[in-house]
Amino acid sequence: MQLAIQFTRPLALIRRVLPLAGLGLLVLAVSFGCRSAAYVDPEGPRTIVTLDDINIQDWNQAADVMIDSLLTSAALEDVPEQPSVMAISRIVNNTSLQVDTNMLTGKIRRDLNQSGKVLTTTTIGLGGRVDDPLAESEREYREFMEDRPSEQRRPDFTLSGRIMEDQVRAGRTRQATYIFQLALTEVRSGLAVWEDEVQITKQGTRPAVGW
Amino acid sequence: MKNTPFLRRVFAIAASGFLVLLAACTTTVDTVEREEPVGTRQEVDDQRITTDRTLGRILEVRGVNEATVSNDLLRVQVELRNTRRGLRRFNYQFEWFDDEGMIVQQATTPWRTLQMEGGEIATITGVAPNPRVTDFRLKLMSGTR
Repeated sequence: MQLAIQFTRPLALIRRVLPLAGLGLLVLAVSFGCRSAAYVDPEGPRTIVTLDDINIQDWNQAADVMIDSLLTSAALEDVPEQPSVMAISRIVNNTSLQVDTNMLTGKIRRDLNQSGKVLTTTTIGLGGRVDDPLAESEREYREFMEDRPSEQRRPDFTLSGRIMEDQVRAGRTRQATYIFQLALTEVRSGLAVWEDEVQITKQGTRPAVGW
Repeated sequence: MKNTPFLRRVFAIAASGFLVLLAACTTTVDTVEREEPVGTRQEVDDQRITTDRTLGRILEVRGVNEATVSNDLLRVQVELRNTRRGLRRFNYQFEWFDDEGMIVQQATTPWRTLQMEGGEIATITGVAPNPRVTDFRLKLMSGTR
């Protein structure tokens, strides 16, 4: 008799719990499994986090920290003519990833331009490669027609840098660190007047969406 | 009924295991600082709108102060303390306003991630994107990643 009671109680419990568990699973499946594509704020905290890539939020955060650091340093102030002019030099990609370094420098350029502290040139580039070839050819045309050199401002500063990575694993847990290094060089002296580094470390076993 | 002592033993082992795990997960930070700070802070009177009461209890805003950098750029510093015993993650974002109260857009205004150990005091800073900025707003939320 006792045995019968012991078996019937768990069975009753299971019968009661099973529908609830099923309902819970259904809710989970609806909210996660059947999630359709939706727009998310690229600067918000609900973007996808992966270990094998530099995600959009990593670029954004690295650029944001660098801009704050550069503006706080007042390195851009020390020029005879304000605002100073900056050209983008080489950003070396030392990671195993194929990345467009403009993801970093583009944001920095835009924010620095908007700050009014610095102007970036689009007609002077490393190895003669310019961002705006039309502006450059137009300047050359004007110089030829007017027979005098244009008043093109030369850069006071150049921005160079390096992106590196460090990957480690312990058991199933992986850790990826992406290191962003930037330096601002004063052209006249050739000295680095500002340098900073941002490290972004991600750890996990599988990709995640940030919630 | 015969199984009750066995179940009690299992429950006790599970509970002690849980407590050991809990103890292993809680790490708190002790802080030492000068009794009377030398630096003078330009404190800002703040107004808070709390929609997440749990976050309000976990994250204590100890003070807000401001300064000017690069001659005319507003810089804001907020001191926060994680009141809990374990590691917590938070997200924050600064918004900037001009003297007419209009928001000043930036090319980059990401939500930043802040990770704090139990009891840790951390400072977060934001630099205004341009000299027109006279005011700010800080948004805080529980960590999502």
